[in-house]
Amino acid sequence: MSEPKKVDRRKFIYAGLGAVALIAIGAAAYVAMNPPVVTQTVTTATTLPTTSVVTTTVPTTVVTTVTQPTTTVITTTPTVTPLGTISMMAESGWYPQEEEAKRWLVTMFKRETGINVEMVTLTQTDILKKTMAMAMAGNPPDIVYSTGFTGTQDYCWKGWIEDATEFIDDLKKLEVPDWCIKAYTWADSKKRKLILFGVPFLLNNVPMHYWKDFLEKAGMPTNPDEIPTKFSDFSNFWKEAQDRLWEKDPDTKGKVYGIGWPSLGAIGTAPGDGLQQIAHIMLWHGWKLEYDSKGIINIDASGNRDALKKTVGWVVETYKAGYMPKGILTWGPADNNTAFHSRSVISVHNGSMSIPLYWYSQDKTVYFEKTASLTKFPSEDGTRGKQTWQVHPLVIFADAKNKELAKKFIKWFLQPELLNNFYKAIGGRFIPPSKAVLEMDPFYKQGYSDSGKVDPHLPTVYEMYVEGEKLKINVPNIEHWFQFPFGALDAYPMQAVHKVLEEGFTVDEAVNWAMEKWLTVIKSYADEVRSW
Amino acid sequence: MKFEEIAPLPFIFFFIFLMIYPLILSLSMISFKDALTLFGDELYIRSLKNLFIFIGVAVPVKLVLALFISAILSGFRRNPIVKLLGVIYPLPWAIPAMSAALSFRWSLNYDFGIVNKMLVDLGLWKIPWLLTYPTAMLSIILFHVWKWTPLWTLMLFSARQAIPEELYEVAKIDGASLFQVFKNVTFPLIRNTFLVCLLLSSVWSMGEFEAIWLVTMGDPNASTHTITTLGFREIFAYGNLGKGIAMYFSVFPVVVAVMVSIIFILRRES
Repeated sequence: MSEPKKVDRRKFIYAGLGAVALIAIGAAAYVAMNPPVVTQTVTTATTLPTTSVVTTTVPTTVVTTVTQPTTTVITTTPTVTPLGTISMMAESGWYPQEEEAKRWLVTMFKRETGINVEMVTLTQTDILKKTMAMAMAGNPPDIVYSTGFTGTQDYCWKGWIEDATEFIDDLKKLEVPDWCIKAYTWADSKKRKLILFGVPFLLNNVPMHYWKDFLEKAGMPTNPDEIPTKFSDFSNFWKEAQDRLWEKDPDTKGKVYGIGWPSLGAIGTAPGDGLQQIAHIMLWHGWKLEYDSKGIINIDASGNRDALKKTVGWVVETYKAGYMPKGILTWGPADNNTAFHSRSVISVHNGSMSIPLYWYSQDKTVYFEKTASLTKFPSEDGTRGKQTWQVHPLVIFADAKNKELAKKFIKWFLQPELLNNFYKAIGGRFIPPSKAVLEMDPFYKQGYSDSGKVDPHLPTVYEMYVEGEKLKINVPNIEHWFQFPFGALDAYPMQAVHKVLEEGFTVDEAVNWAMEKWLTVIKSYADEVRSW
Repeated sequence: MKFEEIAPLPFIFFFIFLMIYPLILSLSMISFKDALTLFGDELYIRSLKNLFIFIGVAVPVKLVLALFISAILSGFRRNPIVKLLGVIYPLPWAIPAMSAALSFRWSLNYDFGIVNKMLVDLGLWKIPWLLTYPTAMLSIILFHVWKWTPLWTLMLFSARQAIPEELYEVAKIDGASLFQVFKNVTFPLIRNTFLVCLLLSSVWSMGEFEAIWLVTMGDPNASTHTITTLGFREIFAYGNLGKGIAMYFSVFPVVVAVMVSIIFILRRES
């Protein structure tokens, strides 16, 4: 009988490793050919609407369906074969209500159209990174929804975005103002024409808030209507408040400052809030927004250099005089919130209503009684100053696999009742750019009315928007001015302040430096667009 | 052909697929113009300088501290207080960088940060940690050292555990001083581990991101960027892929030089 053949141990191990490697190569090749797109899929079919969404009594089919009890919804939902699936990349909500509202939206869409929506929620930064990688790989999501999608202008320029011009009529029907539409009109260098690169559907203002109790202690008026609107008086108001507060309460000396704006940090990363705040000061000093027929901004419009000089001069002077916290030079987007919450400043300027909404969730006394928001911004001559608005869009990618279905989604979404339910459900951080929707519900005008108290914050957004439209003082915020991320992100006005404070520049030198930088950046694309 | 000869093929395939191919793909995205613009870019030059300052200060400080602390942990390992410290000490390394960096940033805030509050309470002056370039660079280095020294301490501590106790006893009988013991007994025996730590620490420090992006946000006035954060900003904030990759590639020779020289020393030693 022959002995059983011995297996060489080393060969056995090598064979095993080889087999594992071959499987791994196969798997890698498969993944390479079919890159995974979805990292977190929200199963929309089973997600049920929340009460926050359904509290409205607007008598529409949509709401009626939503208010039905869970079991009824399931039984009345037609069992339809999905007519397709669209991929949506959406920003993670800041509050649970925002998440619920988005889920409700995709549920409703599927129920009414039979089209499935695979929604991936990510942070703002991750959306930027992922969309860029996916667009470069030729496999972008169908729709993107983000409130911090600063790269979109650049994506439009690169030809990555689908032209949404066909929605302009729908937007006009909803009474969306032209400046909102213009905020998303920019050049596609591949098509060599201006396109609508996003469908604007959300707005947030850049509000100012203050501590009423500090003003009261300082013996200053606390009513927003009593705060001056002439810029010099407005500035002196907060300075005086600080002086008096320090005098009356020595404990606050060196700890509480009158002016907590503009934030002057995060220039190297994402200046965000600070840039929006300094842009307001420029506008209040007469900065003009002028564009040519190709949508190119005339940055050096008459009076603009002067407005920037006054702005930089005022910031430098006020900082040096000790009316702003020393650390304001490095405040990033969250630091102004922290300074206000920790009661280190009397007044603050912010990129959204997140400061009062934080207090609404934490301490209603602070929200309703101790703090207030301004309704009127100042200007040099005392008339109501310009108000900037950040406009947020829904974006469809040019290489999206389901472009037509994505367009169907947007078309379906642009219904007043549906929009109204959505805005209310997301909890007040944003308002609709549609005047038609704004007038549909008392929520925007009244805000929160807990215990019968008057809301001193949310209604100011409504007031500013509506009055701003009448007075034509509403403008898009600085991120929309240049239609090119370079111009906005380099934050030259903020850098000019630093140049004066830290590098020994005069105000004139710093402003001329900033203007030259801006002109150089704009020239890099303006010449090309003008040649089309 | 023998099986042994073809066995490395999967590794070679993965190396090409995951290392060489992306490298070539990235290189192909850089235009000549991108590369040229770097040298006229003041911010790039400043960021390059910052990178060398950061590595030149942070790496030696971390490793010297790690040597010192590992000596304490090893020498007094039976002391209950040292035992407790040994457990608590690695915490900065273990906690997520994001939350650690943000709390560090807020602690260093000039007006309402806890560090300045403590200084004032002690009758000292406030320090403008994040407001001036030198102090902001110092803050970045402090955070990095605080976060990463525990890792290198653990590495050196474990290397010290392998040294036979008898060697120290003999040195003691011979009347060697602490420095002589370190020079002639400890260091020669942990030298290889130390060099590995030096290599890894240098390479990883070049890629440090959180300390800059989150602690100073590149401030004041974008003066504390290193190539890592500046390249990231160029790519993901500006969408300027070519220039961003060109920035990263510009420090590639330095990374390779550091790695090769340390590997050379390691091989010569062994």
